[in-house]
Amino acid sequence: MPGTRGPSAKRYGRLVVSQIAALTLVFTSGWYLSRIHDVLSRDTSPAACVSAGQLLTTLGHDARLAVASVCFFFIGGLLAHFDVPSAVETAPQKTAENLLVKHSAPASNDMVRSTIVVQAALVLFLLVGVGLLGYETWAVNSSHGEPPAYWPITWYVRCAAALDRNVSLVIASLVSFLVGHWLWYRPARRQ
Amino acid sequence: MSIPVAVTLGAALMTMLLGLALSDFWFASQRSLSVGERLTSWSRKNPVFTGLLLLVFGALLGHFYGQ
Repeated sequence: MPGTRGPSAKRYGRLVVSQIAALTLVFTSGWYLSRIHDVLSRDTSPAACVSAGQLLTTLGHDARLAVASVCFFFIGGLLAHFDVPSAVETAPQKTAENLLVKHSAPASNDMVRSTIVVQAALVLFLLVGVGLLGYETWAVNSSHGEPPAYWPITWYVRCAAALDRNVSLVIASLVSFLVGHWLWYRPARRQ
Repeated sequence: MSIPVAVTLGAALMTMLLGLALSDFWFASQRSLSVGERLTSWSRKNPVFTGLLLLVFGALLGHFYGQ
């Protein structure tokens, strides 16, 4: 992005940590997917997870998941604001949007293109989320009283948790870390 | 959603996340904002939307792992 300050050592450090978290999440989730596929390809009934050794419906409350999720959320958020770099590094982007929206002034093509790409990606991400939540609602509703033809997403997650609770703990912690890292709002430091 | 479709969809989502994670290094090499930094910037400018997203995220975690 034009005008963006060059990357600092702290910025690279944050990038590396978040990349490690994201890549670990990808590979543990991939391992989960392969295990679920192995189990459910033999038996697609909800009881398939029982054969893995634990009941799908008796996961119960696990305080470790809640505590770890909250802790890693805060760790991710604190790490994101360790250097409070975005106040400086995002200044050109803010300026581009302010120019376009608030002042109706022309901005450079790079600035406009960058803003459009970010907004389009965000809309796409939210649309995918809405679609998945819609499917989840429909599948949960259709699963009452009779064996469902289609599994809700929740069942896949709980099946994975039944297969190995510790890996679920790791995945929930990593997701919370990334969410806290990216979304935890704290006012930027003024210069 | 059948099992193969669900697993394929999950794999596709993981591939997207992998691509996003790797793209951060490319953005850094270009001295540009990474995806995560763009998202952080967006969350700073839209705290209400961010709060709603976090609410959904927490509700999903509770829904998935709480009984």
